Amino acid sequence: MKKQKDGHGTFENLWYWLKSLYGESPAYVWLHVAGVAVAVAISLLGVYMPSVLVADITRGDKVERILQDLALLGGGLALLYLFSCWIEQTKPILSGRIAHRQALRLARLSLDTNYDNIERADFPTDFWKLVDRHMWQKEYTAQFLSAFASSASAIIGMILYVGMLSGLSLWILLLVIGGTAVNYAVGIRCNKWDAAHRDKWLVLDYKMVYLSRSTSTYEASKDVHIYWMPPWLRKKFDAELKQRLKYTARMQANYFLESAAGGLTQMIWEGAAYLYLIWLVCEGRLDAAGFVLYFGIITGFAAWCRSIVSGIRELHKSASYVEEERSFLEKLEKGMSGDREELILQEGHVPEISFEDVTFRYAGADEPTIRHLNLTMKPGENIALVGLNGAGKTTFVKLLCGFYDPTEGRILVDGVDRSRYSRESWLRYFSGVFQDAELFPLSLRENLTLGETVDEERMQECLRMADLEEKVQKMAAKLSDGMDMMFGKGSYEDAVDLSGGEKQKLMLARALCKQAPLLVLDEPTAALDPLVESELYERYRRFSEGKTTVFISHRLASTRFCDRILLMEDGAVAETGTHEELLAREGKYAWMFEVQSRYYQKKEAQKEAGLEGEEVGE
Amino acid sequence: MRRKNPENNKTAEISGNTHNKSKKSKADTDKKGYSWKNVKRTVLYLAKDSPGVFPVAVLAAALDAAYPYIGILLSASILTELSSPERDMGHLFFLALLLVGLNFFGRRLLDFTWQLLDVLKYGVLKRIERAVAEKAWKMDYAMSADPEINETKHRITRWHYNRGVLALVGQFTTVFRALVTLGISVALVMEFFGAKAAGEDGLAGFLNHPAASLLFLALLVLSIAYGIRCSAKIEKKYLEINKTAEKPINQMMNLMDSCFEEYRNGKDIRMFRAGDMIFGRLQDQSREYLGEMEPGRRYERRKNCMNELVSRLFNLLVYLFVGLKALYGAFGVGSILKYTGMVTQLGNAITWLSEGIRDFLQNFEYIKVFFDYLDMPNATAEGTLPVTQEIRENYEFEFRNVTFSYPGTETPSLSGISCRFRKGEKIAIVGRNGSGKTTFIKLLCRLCDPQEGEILLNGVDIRKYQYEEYLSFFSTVFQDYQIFAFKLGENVAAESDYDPEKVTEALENAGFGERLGTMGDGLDTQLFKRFSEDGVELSGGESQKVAIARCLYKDAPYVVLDEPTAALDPVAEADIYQRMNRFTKDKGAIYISHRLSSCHFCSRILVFEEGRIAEQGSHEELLAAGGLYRRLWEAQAQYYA
Repeated sequence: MKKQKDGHGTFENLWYWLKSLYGESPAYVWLHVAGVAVAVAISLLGVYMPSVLVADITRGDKVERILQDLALLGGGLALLYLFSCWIEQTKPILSGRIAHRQALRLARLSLDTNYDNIERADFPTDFWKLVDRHMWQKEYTAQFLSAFASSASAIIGMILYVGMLSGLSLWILLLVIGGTAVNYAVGIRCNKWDAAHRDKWLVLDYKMVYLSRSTSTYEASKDVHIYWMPPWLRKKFDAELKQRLKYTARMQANYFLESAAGGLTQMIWEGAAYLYLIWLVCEGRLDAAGFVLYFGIITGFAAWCRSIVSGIRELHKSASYVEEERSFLEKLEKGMSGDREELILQEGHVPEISFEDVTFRYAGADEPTIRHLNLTMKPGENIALVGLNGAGKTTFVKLLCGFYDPTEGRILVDGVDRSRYSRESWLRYFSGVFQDAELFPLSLRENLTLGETVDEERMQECLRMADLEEKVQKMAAKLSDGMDMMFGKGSYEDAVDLSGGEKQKLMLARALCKQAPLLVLDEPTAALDPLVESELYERYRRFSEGKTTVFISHRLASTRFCDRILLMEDGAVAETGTHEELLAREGKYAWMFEVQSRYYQKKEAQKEAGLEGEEVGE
Repeated sequence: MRRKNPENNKTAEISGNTHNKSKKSKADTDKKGYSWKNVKRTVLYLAKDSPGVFPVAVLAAALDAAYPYIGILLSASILTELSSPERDMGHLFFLALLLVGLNFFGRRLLDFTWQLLDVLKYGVLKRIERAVAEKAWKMDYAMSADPEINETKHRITRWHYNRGVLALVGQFTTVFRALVTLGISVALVMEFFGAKAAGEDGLAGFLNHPAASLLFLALLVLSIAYGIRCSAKIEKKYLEINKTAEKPINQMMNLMDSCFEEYRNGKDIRMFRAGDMIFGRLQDQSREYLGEMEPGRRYERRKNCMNELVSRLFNLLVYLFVGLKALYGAFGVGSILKYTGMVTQLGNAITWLSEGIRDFLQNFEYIKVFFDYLDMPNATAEGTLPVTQEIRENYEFEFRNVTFSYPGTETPSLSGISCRFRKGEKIAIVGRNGSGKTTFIKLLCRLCDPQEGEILLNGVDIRKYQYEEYLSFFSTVFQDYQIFAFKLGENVAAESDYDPEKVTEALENAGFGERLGTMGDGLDTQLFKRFSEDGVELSGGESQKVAIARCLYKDAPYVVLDEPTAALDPVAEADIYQRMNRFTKDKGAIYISHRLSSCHFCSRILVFEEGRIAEQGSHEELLAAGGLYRRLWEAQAQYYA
C-alpha cells in the first residue's frame, strides 16, 4: 500500500495502533475476536435455517422433526444472537475507558511538553480534533477494531461459503467478486472527490459554527449591539450556507452514483443467480430447499464481499487518523529534554545570568525578534524592561524563563551554558506574572498555589500584599470558605468571577506565593487603578528583596524602583542605565518618558501658575 | 468557552424539561391546546422555511413502506412456482428479472427521495441554527448574560435532528411509513389467518382455531411492547445518569479548555509546575464521569440482551407457526417466505408507530423550548421614537437618580447617579477598580436598563427611543472589545460591503497604517488562524487599534472609550489620544482610563467611588477639593514630576 507522505506506512500505522490498543486493554481485542466467530456462525445458521424448513415441509416430515430442527437451529441461532448482543454491548463499556485514557494521555503530554511546542495558533484545533475523536466520535477504538473484525469475518465467511457451494458452478461467485471490484473502484473515485474537497466544506462548517456561536456570546454582545451587526452576520451566514449546500448536493449526488453502481452490479449478479438456480431446478438438478439454501449462500457471499470492501476503506481511514495522532504526538515529543542535566541551586542562592550574543527567531519568521543581545543580570538586580509595542520584551522574558532556546548565542547560568540543564529544572527557580494569564476553572487555593503546598498564613499574606484580601473576605462571607471558592462559571454552580483588575491582583498574589530567586513581571499593572499601582511600586522593594527581577511595563513610573532600566528596540538593548542617567542622555527613553509625563507635568505647570500648584506632585 | 459533549445531549434535554416546567406558570403548560398550537406553528414554520420538505417526506415514507414488499411477494411467488410440478421456466425467468429490475429502480427512487429529504432537512437545520443565533444577536444584553438562556441556546442547536422543530419531519415520516406498512400488512395477515390447515387432528384443529390466530397476534404485540419498554427504560436510566454525569465531564472539558484552548496559560502551568495537579484533577473528573456512566451502560447491556432474546424467540415462534401451517397444506412452501417477511414488516410497523408517537408526544416540550426562546420579549423592542437628525445635532444626556445592580448581586453597582452632559463636552470617568465606571457606560449605551431612576436624552427617557436608532448614536470601544475571525476590513466596517478608502483611513487614524502596509491582502486579510493557515494573528496592541478603527469608521455623534489604551506603549497611547481628540472635536465623548493623563483632554471629570459619583468638576477644581481624585492623581503624578 502506498506510503503516506512524510509519515508512516498504512500497515505500520495499523499495526502500531493494534499494538497500543492491545496494550491498553487485551480484553477489548479478544472481544472482537470472539465477535468474528459469532458473526460467521450466525451467518451460516441464518442461511441454513429457512432451507431446512423448506426441505422438511416439502418432504412432508413429521411435526416432531420440524420441532426438533427448529429447536436446534433456531434455538442455536437465538443463543448466538444473544451472545453477539452481549459482545456488542460490552464493547462500548471498554472503549469508553480506553477513550478516556487516550484523551488523558494527550492531555498529559500537552501539559508536559516544551511550551514552544504548544504555542501555535493551530495547537488547540489539533488537540481538540484528536480529543473529540477519542472521546465522542469513537472513530479510533470502535471503528478501527470493528473494521478489522468485519474484514476477518468476511474472509473466513467467504472461504466457508465457497466450500459450501462446491458442486455448483463457481462463476456466479466470480460475477459477485467482479461486481464488488467495480463498486470498490467507483467508491474510491467518490472518496477521492470527498477527500479533495472536504477541507473546503469543513471550513464552511467551522465558519457557520463560529458565526452562530462565537458571535452570539455575552462577551461579543456589546459590540454586536453597538455596531448593530445582526443583519450583516445573517448575510454572512447565508452566504456560507449557500456554498455549503452546493457541496452537500454534490456530495449526495456522489453517494447516489456510488450506490447506483452498487445496485447495478447487484442487479446483474442477482439476476444471473436467479436465472441459474431456476434453470437448475427446472432441469431437476436442484430442489426448492436447495434453491433457498444456495440463493442464501450467494446473497451471503455478496454481503461478505461488501463488508471486506467497507472494512478496507475503514482501515484506510483509521490509518490516516493514526497518522494524524502520531504526527501530533511526535510534534509534542520534539525537544523534550530527557537527557539534560538537572539544575540544582543552593537554597537562597541567586544565580548570575548572562546573555551572550543571543539571537532568536520564531519558527517560520523571516526576521529575528531578538538580535545579538548581550546582557548580564547580576544576582539580586532589579531590572526594568521598557520599549514600544513589538520591541521584543515578552520574547526576551520567554527566552529568560527557558520557554525558548536561543537560535544563536548562549545563555549562561553562573557561567555555565543553560542548554546543559533541563527546562523544567531551570523554570523551578522562577516566579512571575504573564501578560495574558487567565484563571483556571479551579478553586481559589488551586489558582493561587497551582498545586504546590503553601501554608494558609502565607497565602493570606500574599493576598493581602496583592490587595485582594478584603475582596476575598467579602465574597467569602457568602461562601463557606474563601480559599475553596471556585472560578469558572459554567463548570461549577456557585462559581464566582473576578474583574480584570482583580484577576491581575490574583496573578500577582500567585507570583508572590512561590518563593523563587528569579521573578518576572510582564505588565502586571495594566488593569490596576492608580492607588493599587502606586502601592505595588511602594512594596516592590520588599517583594524583590534578594531576588533578580525583571519588570515590564508601559507605565514608566515603574522604572523608579529598579536598579537598572533596559530600553529595548528592535530586539536589542538600545539604552541602559538608571532613570536619571537615561533622562540625562536625552535618548529614546527620555522621549518616551516625556510623552507619558507630558500631561502630568503640564497640568502641574498650569497649577503652579495658578492657586495651589505647590501641593501637586512631590 | 467551548463545550464538547455530544454524548450528553440527553442531559441537556431533561434539564430543559424541568427548567421549563418550573419556570412557566402551570396554567400555561397545562392547556393541551397550547401544545397543539405549537405543533401547528411548527408545521407552518417548516413549510415556510422549506416548502418541499413535507411533500418529499410523504413520498419517501410511502416508498419506504412499499419497497420491502417487492422482494417479499415476488420471491415468494418464485419459490411457490418452483416447488409446484407445473412450473414454467419462461415465466419464472420473467418473475426473477422483474424482481431484480424492480428492486433496482425502486431502490434508486428511494435513495433519491431520502437524499433529497436529507438535503432539505440539512438546510432547515442550519437555518434553525441561524434563527437561534439571530435571536441571540438581537436579544437584550442583560439576557445574553443569563446562563439559563445561554444553556437553552446551546441545547436547541445540540438537539439537531432528534428533538425539536426539525424532528417533527422525522416523526411524521416514521408514523406515515408505519401506517402505510400496516395497511399493506393487514391484507396479508387476513390471507394468512384465512388459510386453513388440512386435516382434522388436534394440531390442525388448533391451527385453524381463531384462538390460535389471536394468541399469535397477542404474542406479537407482547414481544414488541417488551422491546419498546426496554428502550424506554434505558432512555430513562440515561436521563437520570446524565444529570449527574454532565457535571464532571463539563468540568473536565472546561479545564482542558483553559489549559489547551488558552494555550498561553501553558507558561504559568510550567512555571508553577501545575501539570501534576491539573492532570490529577482531569483524572478525577474522568473517573467520576465513567463511574456515573458505566452502571448505565451495564444496565443497557442487560436490557438489550433480554430484549434480543425475547425477539429472537418470537421469531422462532413465527417460523414454527408458519411452518406448521405450511406442513398441513394451508399454503405452499413459497408462502413461508411471504408470511415470515410479512410478520417482520408488521412488527416493524407497530414499533415505528409506537416509537413515532412516543417521540412526537415527547417532542412537545422541545418545540416549546424553541418557540419560547424565540418569543422571549426584548425590553429594548418597546421604544418607538425616532432619533431625528435634530437630536443628533443637538443633544443632552441626563442621568436622574439612577440605580443599577447586576442580577444576583446584593450591593448595587451604581446607586443614585445624577449627572448631565451635552454635545461637545468631553467627560473623563476615573475611579478605583470595581467602582462602577464600565457599568455607567453600559447604561448610557442602553445595554442595561436601570432599576431605579431614568436616563434622558433631550428630556425623554432613552427607553422610549427606537433601540437601533439610539445605538447608532454611539461609537464605543469597550475594555473587552471583540475582534472577530473575519477579514480585517469587515471587522472595521462591521459590514461586508464597505468603502475601502474610508476603512483604510480609519485604520490609519487608529495608528494601524504601518501594520496594514505589511499585510499582503490588505483589507481582505483574514484575521486569526482559526480558519486557515494564512490568517494573521494580532497582538494585544494591534487588535486594540483595530477596535479603535471600528469606532472611528462608525463616526457616530457620541464616542465612548473604556480603557482603550491599556495595551499600548506610551508613544502609541499619546498618539491615539491626540487623534481621538481631533476626531471628537464636534462630538461628545466619554473616556475611562486609569491613566489620569487622559483627563487632560476633558472638560469635566466624574470620579466614581463604590457606585456613586464622589466628585465632579474640572481637573483644577478636583485637585483643589483634595478628595479621591487628588489621591489618585498624586499616586500617579508623583512619578512624573
